[in-house]
Formats: sequence, C-alpha cells, structure tokens
Amino acid sequence: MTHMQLANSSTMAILCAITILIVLLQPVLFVMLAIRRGKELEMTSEEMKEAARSSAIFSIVPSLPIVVSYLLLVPLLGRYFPWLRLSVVGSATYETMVANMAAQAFGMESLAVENIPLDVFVSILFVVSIGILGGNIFNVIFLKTYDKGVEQVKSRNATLVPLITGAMFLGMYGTFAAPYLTSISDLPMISAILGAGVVSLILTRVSKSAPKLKEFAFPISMLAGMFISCIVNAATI
Amino acid sequence: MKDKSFNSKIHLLGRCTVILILVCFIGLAFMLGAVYHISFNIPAALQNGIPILLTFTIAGVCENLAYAPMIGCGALYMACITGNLSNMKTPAAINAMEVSGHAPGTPKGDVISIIAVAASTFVTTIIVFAGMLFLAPLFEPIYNNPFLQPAFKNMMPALFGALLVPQIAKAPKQAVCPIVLAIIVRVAVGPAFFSTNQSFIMIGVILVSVAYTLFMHKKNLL
Repeated sequence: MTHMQLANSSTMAILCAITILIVLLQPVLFVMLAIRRGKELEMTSEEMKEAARSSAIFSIVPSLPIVVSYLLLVPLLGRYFPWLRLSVVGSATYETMVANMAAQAFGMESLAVENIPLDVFVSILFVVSIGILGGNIFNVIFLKTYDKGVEQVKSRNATLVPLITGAMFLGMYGTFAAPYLTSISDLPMISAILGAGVVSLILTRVSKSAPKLKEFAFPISMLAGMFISCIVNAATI
Repeated sequence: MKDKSFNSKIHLLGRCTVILILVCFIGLAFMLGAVYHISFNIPAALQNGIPILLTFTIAGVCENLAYAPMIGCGALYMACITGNLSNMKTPAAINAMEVSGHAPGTPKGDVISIIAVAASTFVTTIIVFAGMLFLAPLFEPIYNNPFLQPAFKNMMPALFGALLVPQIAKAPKQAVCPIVLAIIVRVAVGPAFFSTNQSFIMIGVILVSVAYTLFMHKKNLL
C-alpha cells in the first residue's frame, strides 16, 4: 500500500467524516444554548434568524477560495485529509508548510516525493494535526479565567462596553487592513477597499427605509468591492 | 439562566466539546495506524510537532485575548475549532451584531455572535464538503478566470472596506488613532516584520486604541 492509497482509503474517509460530524455537533449545542438564553433576554426569534441568515449569506463568498485551496492539497495529502483540515482550523498555507517541514524532518526531500513510508506519512498527519492546536488548548485551560477578568472590567464600566469593544474592533481591523492601506500603488486593491466601503455606506443609508436590505448590506458591499477591483484591473492593463 | 449561569454553561460546553474534538484530531493518526497496523515514532513526531505548536500558540493566544471580549467566549470556542477567525467568523459575528443592533460585549450581542459563528461554520463546512465531492474542479476555472482573478485576490481588502469604512464614518474621531497608528507601524517596521509579528502588533494597537478612546471619552471629545 502506498501513502496515497492510505490517504484515499475508505478508512481515512470514515475517520475524517466522523471528526467533521463531531465538530458540527459543537455549533448545534451552542445554538441551542444561545436560543434559550436569547428567549430569556426577550430577544425575538426573528432577530436570531436574521443573525443566522446574514452570517450564512456573508460566509458563502469567503468560503469559495477554500474550495480552490483544497485542490492544491489533494495531490500532497489525498482527498479526505484536506477535506477535514479545511473544514476545521487548517488552511492551505499552514497544511502545506507544516506537512513539508515534517516531511523534511523525517528525512524526505519534500511532501511531494512518491512513496513516502506509511509510518512517516502517519507521523506527518499527526504533526499537522497538533501543530495548530495551541489556541484551543489555551481556551480549554485559561479562557474561563480570562473571561472572568473581562466580565469584572465590564461590570465596573457597563456603560463603556460598546465604546471599548468599538475601540478594540478598530484596533484589530486597523492592524489587519494596514498592509492593504499602505499599498496605494495597487489600484485594484485600493478600489476594492474604497468601493466596498462606499457601497456599504450607501446601503446602510438605503436600508433605513428598506430594513430587509440590512442583512444583505455587508455581503453585497464586499462583492461590489471585489467586482470594482476587476473593472479597475481590466481598465489599467 | 442568569448571566453567571449562562457563562458557566458556555465554558462547560466549550471545554467539553473542544477536548472531545482535540481528541478526534489527535486520534485520527492513531486510529489510522491501528487499522493498518502502522506504528509511527511518537517521540520523533512530538519532537517535530511541539516546536510548531509553540510557534503557532503564541500568535493564537494573542488573537484569542483580543477576540474574546468582542465576539464572546461561546463564539470563540467554536471559531477556534473551525478557523478563519479574522477573515470570516469575526466579521460574520460583528456584521450580525450590527444588523441586529446589539453591541459587541453585551449579553444580547454574545447570543447573536454565537448564532452567527455557528451559521458561518455550517455554510463553510457544507461548501468544503461540496468542494470535496464535485465543486472544486467546477469552481477552479471561475477562480482562475483572468477577468475575475482580481476579485478573489482582493477579497480581503473588500471585506475590510465593507467592515471598516462604516465604522470609521460612524466614529471618525475614535477611528483616527488606531487606523493611523497601524499604518505608521506598518510603514516603520516594513512588510516582512509586520506580517511575522502581526498578532503582537495588533495587541499593542488595540491597547492604544482603548486607552485613546477612554481618554477622549473622559474629556468629552467623542
């Protein structure tokens, strides 16, 4: 048996499928808890459904490149393991980088070589699986304690919570956006930022008179920004 | 269910499900080995895996510390399992809170955030499953179409534009400091250093942003 036969085996498919099903159990349980809590807080079913709808619609577009990155991983790790990894915390960049590092550490030239010994291939899958679990291990051990501290700060400054979380949001996404905001010579990129932003402002204003539009405003703005970048790119070639 | 009781349940559920899922992640290699009678060198695998784990943990912890107050712990437990925190789960949660009119960090905001991250998780899982079955080869030509390629290349800038610009327009005085500071840091340290240390820089910018907001609020300048 070659490592690719192992990677494409029905056993691998079943193990990955079971793991993904267990992963999906988590949001089901959390949603049940959240709905109960929402009813206690006198939230309406409609606003909770609206949150689910707007989030689901938005998530379609960013999920599509993941599908393409799946194709990059299949020749290296088979059909099923990339399916699992890209359904959970992995990414094409991480999986390729770490799997290659592990392959080299086990004496292979790279992950792309033919006939990786099975024990080495299983070791590579193990290394890829554990390498990115730090954030989750932190959550299991320390998140509750950290949350207690955050709750204490919040209870002392209840009126300031929206202001503080707003400041955190701006700091976080300001940092993420900085590499793009400083690439002013990249016209398609700048047009994507500005285009999405302007469309978002317009839709926010329009949705005051058409409230149904509100839940679609974010994904439409994002798509508009992406499309504007295509037009600018075509115009500048 | 009081706030305290709800929080305890969130952490109990979060911890139990995360432990179960981590066991599945780690157990996959062992199960595969058991079925095909492959014994792999666990000490050697750990020797290779632990340094990688430590490297990614530092950035992961910094991000979790920043995300938890914004999207709530329930959403964070889920988002850390399924990934794509900055480019999908957090924007989904922030957008859902914006749409429903509940501020991040409030009890109602946390409920909306959990529902949003769960919905996002289901959508991604379904799309990746479809990708594995049939969608990936069908979508690839669209993704690589020369006219449409810039759209996917610039998906993140478009996401940041749609997310940030309304917030900047809503609170320009509050936004100016973190946005300008992040740009100055990026220019000062250069792209390579910035991308390697983005998690740490982010924590610094967030702390300055919060301090600046509190200062401006105290002086009635916001």
